[in-house]
Amino acid sequence: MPGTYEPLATTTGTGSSTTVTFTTIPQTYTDLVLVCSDINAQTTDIGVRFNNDSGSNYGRVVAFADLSGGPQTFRNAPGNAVYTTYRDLASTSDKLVFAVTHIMSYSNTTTVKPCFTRTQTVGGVGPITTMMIGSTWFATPAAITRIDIFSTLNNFSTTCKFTLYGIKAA
Amino acid sequence: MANTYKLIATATAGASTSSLDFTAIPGTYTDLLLKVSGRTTDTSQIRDYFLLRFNSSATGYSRTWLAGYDGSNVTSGAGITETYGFCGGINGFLSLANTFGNAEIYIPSYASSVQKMYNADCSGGYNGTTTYLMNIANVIWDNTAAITSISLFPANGSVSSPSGNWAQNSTAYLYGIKNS
Repeated sequence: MPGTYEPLATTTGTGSSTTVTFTTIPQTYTDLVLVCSDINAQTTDIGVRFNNDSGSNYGRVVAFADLSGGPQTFRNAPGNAVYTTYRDLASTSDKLVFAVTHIMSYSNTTTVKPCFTRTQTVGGVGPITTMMIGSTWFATPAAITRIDIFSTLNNFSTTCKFTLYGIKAA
Repeated sequence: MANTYKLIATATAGASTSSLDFTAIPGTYTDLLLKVSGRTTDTSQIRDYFLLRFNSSATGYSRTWLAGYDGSNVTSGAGITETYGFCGGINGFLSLANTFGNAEIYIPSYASSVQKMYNADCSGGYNGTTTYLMNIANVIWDNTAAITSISLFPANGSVSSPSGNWAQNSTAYLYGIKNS
């Protein structure tokens, strides 16, 4: 049986940093799955960057619903420098608590990189937002060797858990 | 090889099965993943949905969901402190014969002492032409106990009083995901 859905690395927040980083990602898998859970710090806007690229090279389409309103969608055309796979949260009291991101063909050097994310954010009462996000890293095609998950406000607490899995097609 | 994405158990509906049950779930994984192929016997529904309970608990489930169906229709909803965890759409008795809806439910940190939650993604085609649905749902179970059992119920159109049975050969697979 081929080795697939292998845990490549697991880390937690430090309580003193707004960023969690996976480096030296092996290029021997087909796709990646990034699971973020127990994110209980108020982190406001959360983003993911590939290969430490902070340029305006990310775009996304989002569909979501929450306790207070009907279904909504929005789009950020390529040019957004901050957000990749996760939503900018509505307020500082919101929390991204759980996200699963699928990153396809991450080691390909000839195509841009698409991702798909399912997330849940909560406020104080219940699951305020359910969300799915399609996003793409539009930079000059390159293999993804590094992933940064970052918060634009508070540090990731030590309870925040991040795991990167490798998916192999053969 | 890492001991991850391992099949823990399978539950398959027989001729009269009101719930698909997983018990004695080991606490040795990081997350759980449920895959469901299901259909209900509710004779009033072309598209039904299904619900769950953790540890047989009847309290503390809150949800938000978003659905697209039958072309360009989009809807959403929410509920708090309910008695069942909402999952989403699945085929009812009036849907095309022998068609089953699909669902995937991801449950992170199921064995830890944090509040429990899950993503549920469901889809199905119900008459082969114009009636179909996909939905995403997120649920929080306001409970910090480790999840040791899961039961899946056909809703029969009710989020609070599910009834009826799973159609025969409806199947649920429970996988364990381990991060080391």
